[in-house]
Amino acid sequence: MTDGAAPRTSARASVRTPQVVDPLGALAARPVTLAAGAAALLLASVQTLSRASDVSTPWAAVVALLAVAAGAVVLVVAADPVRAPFGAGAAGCVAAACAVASVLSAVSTSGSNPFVRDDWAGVVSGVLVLGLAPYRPTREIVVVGAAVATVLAVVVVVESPGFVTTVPTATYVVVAVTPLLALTAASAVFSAVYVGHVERWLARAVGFRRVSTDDLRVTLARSVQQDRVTVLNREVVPFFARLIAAGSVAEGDADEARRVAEALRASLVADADATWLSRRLEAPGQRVATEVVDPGRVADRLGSEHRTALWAFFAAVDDPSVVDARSMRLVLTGQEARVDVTIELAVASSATAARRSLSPYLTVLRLVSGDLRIDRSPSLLTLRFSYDQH
Amino acid sequence: MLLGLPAHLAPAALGDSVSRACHAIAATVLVAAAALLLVKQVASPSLLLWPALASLVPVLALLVVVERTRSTTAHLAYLIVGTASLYWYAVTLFAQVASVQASDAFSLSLPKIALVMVGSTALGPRRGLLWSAAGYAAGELATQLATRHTGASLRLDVTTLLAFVLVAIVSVHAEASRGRARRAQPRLHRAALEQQVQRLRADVEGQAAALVHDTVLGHLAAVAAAGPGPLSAQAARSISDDLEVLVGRDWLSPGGGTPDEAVAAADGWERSRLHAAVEQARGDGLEVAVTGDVSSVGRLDGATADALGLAVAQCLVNVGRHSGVDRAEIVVFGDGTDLTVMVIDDGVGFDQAAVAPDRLGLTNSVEARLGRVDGHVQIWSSPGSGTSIVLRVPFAPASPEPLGVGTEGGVSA
Repeated sequence: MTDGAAPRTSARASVRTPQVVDPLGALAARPVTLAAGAAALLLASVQTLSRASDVSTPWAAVVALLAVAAGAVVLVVAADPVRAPFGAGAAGCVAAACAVASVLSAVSTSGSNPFVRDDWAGVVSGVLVLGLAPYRPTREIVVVGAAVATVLAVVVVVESPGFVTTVPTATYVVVAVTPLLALTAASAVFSAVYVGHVERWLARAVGFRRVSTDDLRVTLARSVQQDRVTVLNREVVPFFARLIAAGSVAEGDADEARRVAEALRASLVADADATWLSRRLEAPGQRVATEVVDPGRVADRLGSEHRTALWAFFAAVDDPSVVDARSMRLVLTGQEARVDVTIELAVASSATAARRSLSPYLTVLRLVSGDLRIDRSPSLLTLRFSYDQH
Repeated sequence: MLLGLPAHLAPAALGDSVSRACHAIAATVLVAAAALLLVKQVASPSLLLWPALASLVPVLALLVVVERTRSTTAHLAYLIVGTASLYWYAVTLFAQVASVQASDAFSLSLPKIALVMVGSTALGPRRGLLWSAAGYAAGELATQLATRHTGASLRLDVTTLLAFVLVAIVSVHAEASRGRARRAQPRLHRAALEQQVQRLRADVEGQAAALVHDTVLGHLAAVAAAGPGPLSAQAARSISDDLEVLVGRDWLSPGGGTPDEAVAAADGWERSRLHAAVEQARGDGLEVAVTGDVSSVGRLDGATADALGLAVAQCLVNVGRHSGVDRAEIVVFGDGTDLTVMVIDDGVGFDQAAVAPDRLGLTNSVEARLGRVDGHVQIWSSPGSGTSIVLRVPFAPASPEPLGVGTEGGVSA
């Protein structure tokens, strides 16, 4: 069984949406998105049924409800964390569904619709547009809301001769579009304010982290030097000390020098060959048995966002209170500028449960990679994603 | 790289975003109500609608004040003035407009919704729900009075009720959204930091490897190639010079820092009061994780280091007593001029506005103490969302004179 959309090459949208700047916040908003989709469908259905006597064209009423259902499904599916980021295309689909529902709900009651105020299209569209708030940028939400409002206004103007209350056409238009405009405004403002909060925090945090790397370097340098000195003191220093004390190179010293040099060179090569990934996963204290297959040492080509997302994922995998992982295998392959990563996580219980408890980390991976795919077998969770340097 | 808001700041950001979104709804419905009145007035010039229109003006004005100040007074004024205006508006409409004769008329729902969308004074979303409930009740009260006084019919206003339900769902969810998703946040932030340290370390190790390669391996190769025989004095000197550099000197630090300085800095941490505070808290059963550049503590002068240590000790005592959790995290950063220490816990947090200003712990032990050494404190907390305290002190105090913080032994004349 496969989750996830088709791979996308552009890893991250350049637009700053609440979801992009705070992936876990968007993940936490998922229940509200589900509620918005369900509420839209429920409102439309209840209103249609309660005004069944006004329906003159039943097929149009049914298709209008189907359009609402389609919009709700697109909203909920596109907001699925493993499909992140929520794209502009999905927002366009929601807008189209709202527009179709607006037109067809009017068609369904054409000639027999006495009041504009109990038409449901405005409110239902508004609820769906509100559902976009955690995922799309302000400007796009405004465009979507305005487009649907325009359709709604045209529909009402066409319908207006049939309404029983004698008020100016402009009144009908205001009544019809106000719920949609109010909810669009709320959605747009939410998106803008939330992104602003996150970006201000990030700027401040970066300010705090203006850690002089020089200072950190001193501490690290001292520790690295200590490690080196320990290694040298084992063989190299005694060997040279003996040579200097003797003032000559004895029989067998040349072989000894060659052997020591070989060992030292091997350890230097091993160090130089270690990627950030092998350093991270082969560090002592790792609970879960891990194998890294990266013959081309392509791990070091991954960008820093990918590294951070993976780093946090590994920390979660190693935490028995998060997931009961048994072993993990990573395979990295590089093709030109592209790195493909496959992670197989064997779990003691079910892969479905593991996927659920790891979902925050999977969301972040999905957001930074843009093409995370998750396959599940009963006790194996397989993640595949890629990184493109371009 | 950092990803997203830390868990304890998320409810505040969410609460504020929801509040402002509510204000956007309120503004839209008030403008719509005004538009409906204007259209009606133009279509029927004989109607006396300006009192209703005028009643919307103070509500809109107060909405702007509420949005700008977020104060309790502004919220109260908005609800009280809004209720009175709504009554006036409803009475005018019932008396003048034939089609508006029930309390659930569309044009009456609009200002009622504006009252529901009053927003929240608090940073967290929970209080917003109370304000909205008050707005809903006030709106219903005003329209009920108006119906009673004009003889219009009283009906349940489903539209306004749904608006209130919307605010309730969003507020309750925002409050509860600190679940699994948010628990992952600290790990994400820590991952970013650890990764940065690893990158730096790998860089330093590369340098070290290059040096070992250039010196030790070179000599070993020379010895292996030369075969048995006397070691030239020059070769012996060159070998012992290189070994001295490798083993005896601080060859990795940029800018030629001596090993003594690095040792002193590290020892500075071991001997600092900050270190003692951490050990003390650990002894008291608190799990304290210390990350960052602890050696910077050694660069502080004695009085500042002591003040900082004592302040952090008090912060840790507060975590132990009030947070309800037994873990705290300390992150130390040093830059060119200041040392920053963050004390973070994931505990119950507190309402900063509600903490009495004379509460001794934070005010006296932390703020005043740091103030005496030109440092300052910033606290982020709200109920249910943990606490972050950021303490910042300068490496060199602004004033060259002793600041009245006694050092041990004092200065005898």
